Amino acid sequence: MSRHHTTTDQTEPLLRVTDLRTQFRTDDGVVRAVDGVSFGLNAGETVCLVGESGSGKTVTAESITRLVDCPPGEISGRIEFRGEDLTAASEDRLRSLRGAEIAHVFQNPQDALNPVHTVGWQVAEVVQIHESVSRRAARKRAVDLLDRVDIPDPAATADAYPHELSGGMKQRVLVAVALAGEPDLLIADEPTTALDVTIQAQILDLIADLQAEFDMAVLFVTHDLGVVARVADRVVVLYAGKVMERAPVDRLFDAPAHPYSRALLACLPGRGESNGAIPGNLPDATDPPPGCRFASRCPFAVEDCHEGDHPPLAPVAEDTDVEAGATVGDPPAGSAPLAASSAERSASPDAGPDREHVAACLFHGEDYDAAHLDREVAWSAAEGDHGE
Amino acid sequence: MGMKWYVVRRVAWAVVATYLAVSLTFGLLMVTPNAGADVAAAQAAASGQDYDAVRERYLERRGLDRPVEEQYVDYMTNILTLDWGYSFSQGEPVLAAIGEAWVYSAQYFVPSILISALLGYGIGLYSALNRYTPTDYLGSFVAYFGISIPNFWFAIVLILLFGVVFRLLPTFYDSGVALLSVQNAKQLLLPVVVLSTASVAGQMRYSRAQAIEYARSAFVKTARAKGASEWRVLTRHILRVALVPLSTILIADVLAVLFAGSFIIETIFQIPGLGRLALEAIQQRDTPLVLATTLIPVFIAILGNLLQDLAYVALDPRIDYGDR
Amino acid sequence: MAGDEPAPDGGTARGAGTGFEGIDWTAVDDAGSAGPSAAVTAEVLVLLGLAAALVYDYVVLANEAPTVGVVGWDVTGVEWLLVVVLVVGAFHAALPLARNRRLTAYYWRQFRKNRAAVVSLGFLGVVFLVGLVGPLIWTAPNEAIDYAAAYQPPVFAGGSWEHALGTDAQGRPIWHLIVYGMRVSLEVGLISMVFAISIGTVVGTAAAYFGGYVDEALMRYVDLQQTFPVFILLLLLIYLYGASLLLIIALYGLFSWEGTARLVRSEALQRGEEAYVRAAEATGAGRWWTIRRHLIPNVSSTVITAATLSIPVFILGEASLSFLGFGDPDVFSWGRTISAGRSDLPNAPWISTIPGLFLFLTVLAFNFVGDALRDAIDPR
Ligand code: SF4
Repeated sequence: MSRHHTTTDQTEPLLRVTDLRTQFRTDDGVVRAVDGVSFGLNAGETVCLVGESGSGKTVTAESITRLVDCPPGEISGRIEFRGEDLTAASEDRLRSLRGAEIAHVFQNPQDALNPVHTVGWQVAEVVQIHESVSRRAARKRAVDLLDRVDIPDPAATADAYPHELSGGMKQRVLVAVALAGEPDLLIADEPTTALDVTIQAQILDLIADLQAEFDMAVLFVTHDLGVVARVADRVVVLYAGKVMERAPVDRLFDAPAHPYSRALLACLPGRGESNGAIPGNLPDATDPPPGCRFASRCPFAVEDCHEGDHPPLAPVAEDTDVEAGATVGDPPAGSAPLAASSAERSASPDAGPDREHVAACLFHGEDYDAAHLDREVAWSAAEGDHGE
Repeated sequence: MGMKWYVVRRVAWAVVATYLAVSLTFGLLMVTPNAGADVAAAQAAASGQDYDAVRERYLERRGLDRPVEEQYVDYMTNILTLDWGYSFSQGEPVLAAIGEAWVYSAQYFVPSILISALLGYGIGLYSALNRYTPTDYLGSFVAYFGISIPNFWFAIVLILLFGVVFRLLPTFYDSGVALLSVQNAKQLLLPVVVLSTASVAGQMRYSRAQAIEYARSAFVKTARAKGASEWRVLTRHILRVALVPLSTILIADVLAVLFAGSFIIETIFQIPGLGRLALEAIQQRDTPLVLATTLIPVFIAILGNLLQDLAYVALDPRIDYGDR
Repeated sequence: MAGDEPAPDGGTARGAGTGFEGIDWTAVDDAGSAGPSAAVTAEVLVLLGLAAALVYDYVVLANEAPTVGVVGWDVTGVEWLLVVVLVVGAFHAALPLARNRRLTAYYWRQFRKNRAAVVSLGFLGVVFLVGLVGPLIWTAPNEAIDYAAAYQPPVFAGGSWEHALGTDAQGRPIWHLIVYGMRVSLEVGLISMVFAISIGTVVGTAAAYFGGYVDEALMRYVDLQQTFPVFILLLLLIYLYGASLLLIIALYGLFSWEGTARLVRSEALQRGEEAYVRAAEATGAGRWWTIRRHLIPNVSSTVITAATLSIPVFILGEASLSFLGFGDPDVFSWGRTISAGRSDLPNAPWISTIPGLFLFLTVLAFNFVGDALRDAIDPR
């Protein structure tokens, strides 16, 4: 389950998550929200965690700095940040990382700011926690940061309370909060989902600008493939707490390998039969059935899919592209900055780990032929034909 | 609608509420047969005088035979000018009797309020942040105990244990003891414990529930993601926000619980405070004193509510002044 | 947890986990909306029967003969009310639960997780039964006076089995005092609760639904009522009118619904925004229809919790009044017994402490059950 490219790269990735498992003990049993997830993130790069709600993407993101409540949560596996294993780090150590090295922006700006403090106070708080500066200096920094995230009249807005600002403004404030410690890694958990479409675009642009300016890596959690296409360098597709597919963003869109990824793409408006959602439900998180997690909704499922463990991640052969006419054999490329166009991305000839394309499906394993996945299927009929 | 207008409105409402409360007592008096007159007449009849004649004379002397409006205006004026009448059971003006009694009530009442707030919030918040630990379970147990135990029975059992069996503490209050003395502290210990048990428990449960709710909130997660320490999260974020609803219950519930409790406490421990004064007044059918001892807690409650509304202004920037 | 009971339909149970909102109340209440269902008819008939019996009792029998001749039970006013409350409770709580087996089973599974609450429920069941039928079995304390048997200690303190819990200063068995006290507590708790909760629910939903001036007026009144401490109001009214159990119950019922009204109002305000209420309005349903069919059922989880937790408050309140000597002199409230035993504390501590223990446990049990109910039906 671990990655195969451990020693070959010249530099350590900024963040490497290996076999992460986060589970919660509840009255109804142990909920395995994240069940063996691995991925890496290089400095300055953007990686998207994609999946439906309940896929474990938020828990994965919040496990990194142990923001999930423990207990009842339990985190195991390895989370290496600059080579340091965070699962073994003390709470004090994590606190000094949070906000300063690893910052978060959360989904709903309406609730993410404390209603009884001014927004300036809340930005300055980060500075005060991590640096010994005077209150006035911290406030000045806060006003500068508010200015940097394009808030009009930052000095006046610093004295405003959250309820006096619009949703988009609040999200800008939260971005300022995240920037205040000048982090190397920004974890953005659905930062635009709760916002209007036009505001969404503004916030995405803002994050991209700041990423370039501060040279941050961004771990972007989203269910929205439109956002993925816009921001990602590489993508990790999660389903029911497991990684289904890891791929560079162009590979995922041009040649999705895993049936689940294909289903997601097929449900994208303007692609395939766009009927909105994949039929069926996530398996029970306390007691998942054996075999592939996706089997109950997968139109390709065969008997073996319902047995044993979830299939391991296997490299995807370059020529197993979906439909005829899709870009076959895209030249591999190294990591590219967020705003890079796909032309720039394909510039580097180096086939490093960042170009790896793996999928956890039997048909990409050794015993099956991936071509089988290319036959036409109707996603909406999937459940009826192959369910249970 | 600004803050000033809000404050004006709340103060105005407090005045209206006071007026309504006083009027209500007047109304109740009017629709009830006059107890004092009956008592006087019955006494007179016992000593051989004519029942009805005495009764009438009694009413006349007090101006109770006049039209209702006149009596009402009189009554309200008297209340307003602090002319609250003469208490025959105490043999002195009502206000004088109250002036002597309140010191004794305050001696255990004020510490009880402080203890309720500090201990109640403290344990409640601590439990909320240390859920599922033995301390939390112990706290919950104490809270259930506190809200369920009848305070009069609790007092009796404590007196039996500490006063009768172990002989550690006095079994009743001695008003001859100096205010600032160890002995006074000792004799106030049980009353304070009994009175504050229920409200401490109530505050604990409520503040724990509030804190747990906020501990799960998104802004607390933001604070933790900033690298804030648990203490900072607790004081600057959770407690600061929780103060808004907690201030509400402090006034409304604690006062109600403590008022009811003070009658019990003063009866059991024989403390000559306001509660005992009220009970004696009722037993002796001493109407002016009954009214006074009823109105004082009502005034305190109205004042408390007003303070609480004003506290909102200071505590909660979200307050919608126009809406309240 | 999972092993001991086969979950026939996990998915549905989970779906019902949203609380009482999960029920289709229209279906629970009656089958068709056209006319009154069998249950409603039955309830009306039973209540009419009770009314007839009441008239018969007061007009024909007056105070001369006991109402139920066989057991010599002369039903009093408060007892009539208790019977009415039980009938209403049977039709509005027990019947829907019995009809909706699967949901009941789901709530029970949730509730069962709390051990203390299950034990408490058992205890309350016993108190309920003994309080209901006990007075028909054991003689009233005032008929059991036996000075020869005064101050008998309970059996665990060297007494005899004849008076297992001992006797008081007049030789009355403590057990009889406890049984009659249970009846009083039941009456106070249940009747006041039904009064207070009904008024509170109606006022709360009305305020939320109508809004505007109606809301303003109702909530201002609630403010006022909350300001006036109930206990002091009770003392004042008892001073003016004299103590009777009926008065105490009525006052608690009439003057302590403001908390429920507030809760229900804020809950209903939230619910009112939700789709099905809007939909009901859009289809042209009348206001009261919308309130009755959509709003009230959907605040019921709030109401049920508030109801359970208000019972112990009333029981404690009545006991406190009785303790102070403002209770009904004709009934044997626990508060009164405890008060009476106070002077004998050093030599006969059981007179005060045993009834006190029962009072404590009853209140404790209600609090446990109330909290567990909230966790089971109203998960947040
Ligand atoms: S392993 Fe089987 S069930 Fe799972 S995705 Fe592949 S084909 Fe579908």
